[in-house]
Amino acid sequence: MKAALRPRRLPWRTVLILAVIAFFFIAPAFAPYDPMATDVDAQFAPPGLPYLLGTDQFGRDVLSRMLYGGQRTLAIALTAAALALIVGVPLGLLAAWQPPLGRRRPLGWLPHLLNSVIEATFALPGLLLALVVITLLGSGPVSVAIAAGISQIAPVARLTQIAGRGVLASPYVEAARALGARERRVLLRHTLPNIAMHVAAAAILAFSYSLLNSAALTFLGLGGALGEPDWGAMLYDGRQAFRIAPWISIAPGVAITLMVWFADRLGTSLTMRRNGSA
Amino acid sequence: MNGTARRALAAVFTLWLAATLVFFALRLLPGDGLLTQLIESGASPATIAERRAALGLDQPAFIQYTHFLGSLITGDLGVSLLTGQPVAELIAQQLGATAELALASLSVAVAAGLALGTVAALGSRVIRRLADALLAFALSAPVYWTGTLAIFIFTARLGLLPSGGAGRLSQLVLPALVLGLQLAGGIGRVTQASFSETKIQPHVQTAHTKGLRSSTVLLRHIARPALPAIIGQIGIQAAFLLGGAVVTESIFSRPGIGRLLLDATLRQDYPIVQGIIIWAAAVVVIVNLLVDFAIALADPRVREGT
Repeated sequence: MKAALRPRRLPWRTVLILAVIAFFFIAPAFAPYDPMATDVDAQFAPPGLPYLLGTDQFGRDVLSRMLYGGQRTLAIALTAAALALIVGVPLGLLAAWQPPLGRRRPLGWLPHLLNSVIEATFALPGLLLALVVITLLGSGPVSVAIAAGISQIAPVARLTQIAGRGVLASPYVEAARALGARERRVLLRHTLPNIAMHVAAAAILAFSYSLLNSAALTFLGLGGALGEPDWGAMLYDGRQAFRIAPWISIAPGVAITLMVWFADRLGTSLTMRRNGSA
Repeated sequence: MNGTARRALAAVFTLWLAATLVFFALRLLPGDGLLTQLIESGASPATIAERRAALGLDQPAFIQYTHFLGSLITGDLGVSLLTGQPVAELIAQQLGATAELALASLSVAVAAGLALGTVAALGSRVIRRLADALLAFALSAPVYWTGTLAIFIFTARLGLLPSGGAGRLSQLVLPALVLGLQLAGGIGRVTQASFSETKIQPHVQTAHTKGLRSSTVLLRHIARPALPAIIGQIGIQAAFLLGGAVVTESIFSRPGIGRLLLDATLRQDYPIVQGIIIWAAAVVVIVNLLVDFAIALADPRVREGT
């Protein structure tokens, strides 16, 4: 309870990861070259000068492509995470809800139904579910974002549901109901703000998996036009030529790994704060 | 009704719901794989109608659905849109290669996860940090990157191991290590968290004070209570394993169900996609049942039903 009363400061890790994400949206400004410009004299140039991180099979600058690529890759992952939250949080909240005792119990079946749906979706492994969506929508960056997002709905819903259940069982919800609060108000005013940290942690997790899954889909060749700078697409390019030019894969791989690592640390710090041990 | 029967019934229900969701998602949403394929190949409208009728696609969705469920119960997953081969047969052909990869990676994951998690919780300060960093790397580095790097180092540079194919043991080593390392991250984290929490408990202090050997304390007083959580995590990783197999089989050009699924996705051959995802859901549900069962065996509180 005490933690909730303390004015909330943004943990430095939150600031750091937001800064890193923001950096990749302005990163193109730091790119030394046009990411699409080809240099026929410098195909597969190893890292050095003038191409700090080397060039790919078309002589395109790897550093510039990495700096530009973050925008596209992170935009896809953020869109996917947003989709997972928009659908997953209400779903989880309603699945956690139980109609109050003592009144007529309309919609009593709703939580059971939603719970079963979440349970069933959990049996479909994320990347496989994403591939089903791609089968329907065809390949392309928008399909990849939707596919990655849909595969994270169930985890977000489940985490929201678990957190929401705890809050909905608490005495102040009972008190609010006794005072005549409508169920809508109970959910939106009394439950949602109190599980905000859990939702934030779920959002970070959804972002990490969306990043990993969407880059995987692009790497597998389902991301549409491969010429556009994109971390997954760079890994795809790198794979074609890594025996002679491993540096093409190293830069985007490090970028994805660092991003997911940051997110993991941020999620851990949120969880620790929630438990009051940090 | 006892617990096991109720669980099994719940599993069947989950599987039915998953199959239904996939069926309706693939039928009712826009995007008709067959139509796209046939139009691209220049088929006449009459041929298209004929193929659709042969596959029962001209029937109302509900009729298609009852037919689909009826076949599903007998293990019939339909036929490929493009080749007409039965999907169940295609899966059976690829099952061996994927099962081999899955078992090998899971063994690597359990061994590496337990070892890293244990030293990340109980080792000296430096070792703890090192193991913790390795676990963070395992959790963050995507398979499609580590796989490429592994091929570069072990195949292109050192020439130690082959980078692709299947059948020989040496061809299994790199994919199993790469996929196993990623799965080890989750298992290691749970082991680490659980051991770190238990090692400061009074009963562990008492065990040390009694003069028990530290290996006995580890196995009996620290690892025993952590077992249910670790088994649960292994079950969770088994679901990730199927997704990881798609990527791993593609990188290491191995045959397998992941490759079959990827090819079918690229060709929008949705009966194959549908069949594989239902098969995967069945695997996940069965693994979860086994995991629940194993947890019940490992946890006296669950075993006694209190």
